[in-house]
Amino acid sequence: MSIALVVDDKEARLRTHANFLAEQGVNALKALDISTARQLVSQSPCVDFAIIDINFDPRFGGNKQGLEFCRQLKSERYPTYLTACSAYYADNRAVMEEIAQEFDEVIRSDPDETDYQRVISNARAKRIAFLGKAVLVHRNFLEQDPENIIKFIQIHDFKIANSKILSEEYVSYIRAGNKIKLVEPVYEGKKIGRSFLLWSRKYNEGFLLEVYKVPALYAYGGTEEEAVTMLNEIIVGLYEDYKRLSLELGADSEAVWAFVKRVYEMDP
Amino acid sequence: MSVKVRDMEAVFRKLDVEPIPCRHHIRGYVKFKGRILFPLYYSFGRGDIPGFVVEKIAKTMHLSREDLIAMMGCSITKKQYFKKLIDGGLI
Repeated sequence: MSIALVVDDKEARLRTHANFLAEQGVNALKALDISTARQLVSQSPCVDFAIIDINFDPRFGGNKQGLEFCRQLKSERYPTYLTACSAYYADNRAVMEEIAQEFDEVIRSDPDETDYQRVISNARAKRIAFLGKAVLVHRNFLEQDPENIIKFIQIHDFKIANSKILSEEYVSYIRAGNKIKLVEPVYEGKKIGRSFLLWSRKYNEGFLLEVYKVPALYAYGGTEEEAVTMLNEIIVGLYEDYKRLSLELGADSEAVWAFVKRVYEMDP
Repeated sequence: MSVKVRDMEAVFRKLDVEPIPCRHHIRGYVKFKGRILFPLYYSFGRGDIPGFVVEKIAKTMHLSREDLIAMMGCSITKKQYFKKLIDGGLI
């Protein structure tokens, strides 16, 4: 399921956004103010697009705060599709121009189904266009230009706070000495794609990584970082093959490509 | 028995997997009647493949470690392997 961030200090409009998006299969993270939005973004690296109000109640930071938040998102992440939705500045040409310059799209303050469908479709196109470039640069790096290093993945320790959700499989992996890690695809220092979980296990000969719930995707290396680089190469390679070759999938390969597509693109 | 990269090359050949080289790996796709069943890959090099990686390759191929080693030799043919997958309900 795609994830959107919706930020508006009017509860009714926030609900409207969320309801319309839910009808399109998009899960909306709702924030009534910018500080909540910042918190949600820091906890959820997988935001595909955002619909942001511009003017906020003075008690929560006031004028044009949505514009500042948009600039912040642009500097930290890519390619989240940024949409402005505000009636407040409709008559102010200078501000509207500023908004149009910063955001990918401006929608009217009372959007309908077709507006949301367009935003979702544009967001997907932006991500895919960007990924085409990123994969191309990555391939050039692998084949020709070792100086042009891309850090595609960052790795973090990860803990599941609620132990009640742990499956038997999870417990057995932990007992076998695995640690669970959260991985974020990163390109040019900005977060792209979706984060995902990995099992990491240390052996005498090195580290073995396995994608959580996709055991056919694994890699090893002398160090954990090296193993991540190897896994990255494999995942990028599979994504590239998927785009380049017409692959007819069956058996386990469906789950593998569903995962690879989920990481790099928005869900269909 | 240790497993070497050339043993994996033999598996690729036996299953008619077309190798796609990249910087550190050879990858390919095990296909049955034109459909990809799963990706398969191994690292470059001439040395032994670590035991824990052999386990992973075997698991990916829905084989035991012993059966994978048999595949590398002559004990299990391509036809027998696919029959095993069909019998196991995988294809």
